[in-house]
Amino acid sequence: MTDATDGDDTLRLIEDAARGFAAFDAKRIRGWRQAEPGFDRKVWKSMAEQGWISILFSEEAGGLGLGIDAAVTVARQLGHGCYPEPFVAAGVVAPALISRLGPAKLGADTVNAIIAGDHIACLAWQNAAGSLSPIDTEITVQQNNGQHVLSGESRFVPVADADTFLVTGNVDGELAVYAVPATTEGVMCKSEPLADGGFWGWLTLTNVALPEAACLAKGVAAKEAINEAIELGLLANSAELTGIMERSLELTLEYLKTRKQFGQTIGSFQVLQHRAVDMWMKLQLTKHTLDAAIKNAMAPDFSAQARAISASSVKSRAAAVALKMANECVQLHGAIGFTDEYDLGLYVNRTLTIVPFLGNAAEHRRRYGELKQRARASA
Amino acid sequence: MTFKYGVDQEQDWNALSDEEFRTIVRTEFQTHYPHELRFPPSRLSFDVLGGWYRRMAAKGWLAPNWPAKYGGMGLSPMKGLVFHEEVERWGIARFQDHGIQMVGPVLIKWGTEEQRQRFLPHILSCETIWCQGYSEPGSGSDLASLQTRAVRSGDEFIINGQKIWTTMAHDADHIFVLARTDTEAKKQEGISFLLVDMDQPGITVRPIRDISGYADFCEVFLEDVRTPVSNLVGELNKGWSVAKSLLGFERIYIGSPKLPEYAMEILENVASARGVLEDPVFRDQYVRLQLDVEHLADSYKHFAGIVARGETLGPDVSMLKIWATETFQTIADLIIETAGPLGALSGVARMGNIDIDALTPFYKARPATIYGGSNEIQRNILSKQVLQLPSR
Repeated sequence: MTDATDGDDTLRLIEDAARGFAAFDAKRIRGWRQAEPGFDRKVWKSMAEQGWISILFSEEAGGLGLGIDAAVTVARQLGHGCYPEPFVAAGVVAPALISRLGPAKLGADTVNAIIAGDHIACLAWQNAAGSLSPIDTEITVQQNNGQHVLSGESRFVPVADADTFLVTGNVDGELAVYAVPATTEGVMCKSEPLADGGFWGWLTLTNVALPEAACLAKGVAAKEAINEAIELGLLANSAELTGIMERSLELTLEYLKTRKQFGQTIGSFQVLQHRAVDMWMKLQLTKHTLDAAIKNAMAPDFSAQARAISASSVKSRAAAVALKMANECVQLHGAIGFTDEYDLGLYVNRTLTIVPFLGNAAEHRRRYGELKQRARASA
Repeated sequence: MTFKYGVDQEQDWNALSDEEFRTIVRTEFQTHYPHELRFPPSRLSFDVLGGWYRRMAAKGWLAPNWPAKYGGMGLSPMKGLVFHEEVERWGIARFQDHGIQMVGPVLIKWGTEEQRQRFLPHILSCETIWCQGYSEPGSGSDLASLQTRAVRSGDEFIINGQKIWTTMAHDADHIFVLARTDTEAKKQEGISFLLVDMDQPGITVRPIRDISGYADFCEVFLEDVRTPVSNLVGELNKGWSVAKSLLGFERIYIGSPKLPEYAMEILENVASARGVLEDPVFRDQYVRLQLDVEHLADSYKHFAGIVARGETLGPDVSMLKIWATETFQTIADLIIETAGPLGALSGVARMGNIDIDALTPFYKARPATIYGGSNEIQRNILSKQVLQLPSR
């Protein structure tokens, strides 16, 4: 990208393509509910063909070498179309992590397969209690004759069906990241069903022996790379929520403009108008905050601490507004909004699923508050 | 020779970068504004503020929003925003400035050259202080239902009626009035915009004491009040358009995050004095408000960007007023809640080792959601103009 105008043009092209691609298809979405893996690998492949899985990979690594603004643009449109494909987990977080650690470490073949959409990698970093801190991993590592032997569990793995798990392990109190192919002996991932009909994985590693090369990073390097990847993921996740909210509000406004009761369009009742305005206002607030955070994340002089604060700030807003929006949209519809037959429910359930992913509103308010205090103490 | 409205500007402010301009303004305020007048609990009279505003007048800084050829600073919208941000940041007290905010811009847009020459120089020199005669006892949010009448008699209008919530009318010597000049026409169509000298027997001003104990606004009674026909601004019966035309980029001002940011500082001081900074219940509420204010600032920047690009603000800017004033209210509520028994004390009180006036933000935050089109009216506007929800 040479200048802002080029960048804006690129973004517009991506947005148009994503909007066209991600048009809402209720039948397809319903078809994948409770059907493992909960999304369509063929659709994933065509998303890869659009170039979306390679947005964050550098050009040397075979990717597009674009910024988080491009990934966020795609995520928002996928949210609008209520796509079950795990774009944020496997198209943003994993590529950001692999790029940061050096794609060569994973091997060109695997990276090429990820970029082609034939291979899915995802980060497995949370313990059974769902801690947001990677160092709380319950996977321990024993080193033995140049081999790394991993044992333990990781829960809430965003793609139960992944081909490679990027696993956080504890090596004598130090954090490390390992690439663990799903086919390795001792790897088991069982599925836990989600509100939206999809699945997260519960990964169990039993004496999984890996070569030295499987360790992608250790210590501070591992921690910083994971934090950065998760923070970029938080922006994309907030954008996906934004897309979901946009469509939920559209559906609700259409309903308010057509449904009649007491001989009047219900959208003419002031109490409902003001509730609709409040939803819209908070959605705007989320968008303005997300825009500011993306700008910050792309600024070269933005510190790691500021980036962390900014990511938690945005997610806390997006998550809180999204849940409120889901509730309000159901209420403003009345009983029809609670039926499975009506499409709003797909968005409500998708909201319930992706709000907690990478941390919900309360978790990020807590993190934001702690980071702000620390920033002030050190200032 | 061209008519001279006010002093010449030292330089073309718009030629400076925003940050250069900000530094000049900030330095002037920090160096010369009387410290004891920062963030006052209520509006201050011109007796108290005259020194500062005469200094501003002499510098040519009294009317940042007017074009330079009419004696203003001639600031671009973006520079105007910077100036306003610095005023708010430093807590500079507003004088009764409707002459600057309303009469000047109205005359520049709608007035005759004769009217401009007659009124603008006195506004710029602080010789005349103006107040705004809009609301009436029966016409608050529904302003267009106003009943004050103006009847033409020779070269004069004779005005009868009552205005209310007229801010600082007791400190003003002139009033601009919306009055009905055609009782047959529909609501908005029979209203005229008139300039009136208050120094006449038919005008009675009665200050209204508010719940904070101050009297910032007044009732104004008009009994056979006279004003020359030459004081009609714009066309007869077109006063509604004149009054409404000023809702330009200034609508962003009320959404500035500076006041909530200042209230957050007070909140922190109160919490510190009460020893609850680390209390989990307080922390939860405090962090929510930190985020609310931070996101207000993001939203403000979004709209400021529109102003900076020279584009027109849409009706969606109403959200900024709602979010800013309701956030301010929530902070003010938490201040008195955190203050505990100290929140019952009137005026400045000792808390820990500092003096804090915990109630001022509370009282200041109340009218903010009412004036300038109440927040409910703003929601009606958004509902109709942005969401396009039906009226029946």
